[in-house]
Amino acid sequence: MLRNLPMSEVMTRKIVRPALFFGLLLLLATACVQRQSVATDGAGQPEEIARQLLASGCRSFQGGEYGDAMRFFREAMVIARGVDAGAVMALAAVNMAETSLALGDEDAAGQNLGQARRLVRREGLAELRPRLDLVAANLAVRAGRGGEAFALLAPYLSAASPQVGGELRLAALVSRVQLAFAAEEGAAARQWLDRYRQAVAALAAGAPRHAAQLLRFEARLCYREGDQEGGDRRFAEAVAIYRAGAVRPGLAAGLAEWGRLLMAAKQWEAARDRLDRAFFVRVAMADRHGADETLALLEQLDRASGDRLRAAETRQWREVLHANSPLAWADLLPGRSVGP
Amino acid sequence: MRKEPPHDSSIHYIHRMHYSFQERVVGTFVLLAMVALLGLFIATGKTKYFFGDYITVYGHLPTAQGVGLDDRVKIAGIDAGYIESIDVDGRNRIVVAMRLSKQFHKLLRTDSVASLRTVAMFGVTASGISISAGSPDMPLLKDNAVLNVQVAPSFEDMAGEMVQLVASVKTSVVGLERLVATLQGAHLAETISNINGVAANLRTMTDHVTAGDGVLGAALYDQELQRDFKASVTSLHATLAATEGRLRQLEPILATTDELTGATRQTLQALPELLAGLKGTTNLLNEVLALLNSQVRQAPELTARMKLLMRETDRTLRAVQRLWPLSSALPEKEEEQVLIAPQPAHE
Repeated sequence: MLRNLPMSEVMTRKIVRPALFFGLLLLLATACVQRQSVATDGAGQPEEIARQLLASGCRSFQGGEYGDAMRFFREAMVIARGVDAGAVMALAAVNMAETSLALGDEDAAGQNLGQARRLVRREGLAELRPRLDLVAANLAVRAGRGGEAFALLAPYLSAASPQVGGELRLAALVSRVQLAFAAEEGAAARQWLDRYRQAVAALAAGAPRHAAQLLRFEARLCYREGDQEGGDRRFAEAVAIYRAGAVRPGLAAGLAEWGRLLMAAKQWEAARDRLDRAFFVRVAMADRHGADETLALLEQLDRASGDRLRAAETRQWREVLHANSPLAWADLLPGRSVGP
Repeated sequence: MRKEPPHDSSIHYIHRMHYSFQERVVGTFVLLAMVALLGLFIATGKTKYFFGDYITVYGHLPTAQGVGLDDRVKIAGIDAGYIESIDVDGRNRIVVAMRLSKQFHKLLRTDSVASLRTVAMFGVTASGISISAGSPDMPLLKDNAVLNVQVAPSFEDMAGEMVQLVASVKTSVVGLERLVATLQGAHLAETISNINGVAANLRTMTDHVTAGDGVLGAALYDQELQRDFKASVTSLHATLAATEGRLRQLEPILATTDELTGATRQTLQALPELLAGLKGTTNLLNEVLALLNSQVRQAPELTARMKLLMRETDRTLRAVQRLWPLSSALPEKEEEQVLIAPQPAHE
């Protein structure tokens, strides 16, 4: 067909048109890519990096790696402070307060909470205030200030509370039930437990942590009412749920709680088994505070069961770990960084 | 009449069976960009002279130990190319083909000397061929020319020589030790004791003479002095005999000392040469350390550049992910949690 056409037409069809076509396409593609590049410009900015560090810290916290989580949050705080990113700094401060509590460092938790309050006020981050109250309540519970804790939790216990997320209300309810148990208020404990049960039931599927927590509370009630068999069954179920979900903080807390109740029932061997298991989970989490608490329970158990030799050995271990000797932790956890 | 497919505006564009012309065009260019990136990646690093002019120069080596394909070739210290192939010729010599950038051709003259440097220390092996810049008066080396490659003594060779030197010095020291032990031994102590006895007797005699007994008379008529004198003479005789015996015993030792002295002299004569070798080794070591030092100094800058590159790559990948067809295949990224979930009091 082209044979019959003049040379200029052939050239136009064969070379010029395709060249123009591809040139146009190239222009289009360049514009597309450039636009997208501009859209992702924030990816490497300090604030974005700080947010990524916060996300990494949250993942570590969820896995029970409190020391690693604290390092991530501190780094995020430093980076955010460098660009005066107040909102990110506030998030980092809240996370650091929660992590300090998990690490058993109440002083640091108090300082971080104070810093978070200042930042929330400065930046006008009203949505973070309930979180600050919850952390403050937890701190009051740790310090044995029950009245203050009640007052702080009260606004968030009702389902009708505005601007309270489901998770926050559930955490507040858990703390409230714990306070009732600690104050030996059987009726109140049952009442708040019912509320917690209803809140958990209202949740969609996929809240194993709360299902296990509910079972633990029920098990405690069973023990309180003398139904040890029912209590053991519920504890075993809760432990199985935690284990399946690899929820290490819950697993350790559940086993320690079970061991404490068995100890009160003078079932020394069973109690030692649960406390030993809780201890090793906490050691694996590099949770110094939790490990020390569990060892203290084991020492009590050894004394109560009349095993003085073992009690002395446990005491020695406790002193070694209490001294925060990095060598002792390095022996326990080879190849891992420990502590904050 | 061609039937148009039903158009349902409620269907998301991702689920449509046909892509629009614009989508196809953008997709095509994403693929083209990927190909271009791949091309750029290949064009960097080892293939940086890939598109440039080059010449090939061959080198003969006595051994291929420490030489590897892609090892760098330097001309007057400038990174000018790499070893393209290693082969064996008809005379069982190792032949390496060096691919060199043509821009450095003018440095290659007929008086250029190639040398192979291989240094292995602390687990780091640095090897390569260095070609010295030739004199501008000499003719240029032609493409496919052959160079003899000198092999610089390796650190192991130098260390071997040092071991021999140390062994020689050790032998000398052992010989000297034996000599000293002999001289300070029991035999020497016995001889000295005998000489002391003789000296004591002589002192007694001298005392008598000093006391005014008369030298000769006292010697003739004083029985005790006579006995003492006889004893002294006997003792002196015995001492001299013993000394003679000891000296005879010392003869082979002195002969050994001669040998040892000779050996020590030889060692000392070889010492300058060995020291020169040691100096060469030290220089080589300095060169290696300088090389390592320069590489270590470059590490932070390299890290910073890598960081920048990674950031740019990340941005590019994010941009690419938003383009068709990748955008339709990749799931939406979930927003990451930046605040710890609310925690109860005792967990």
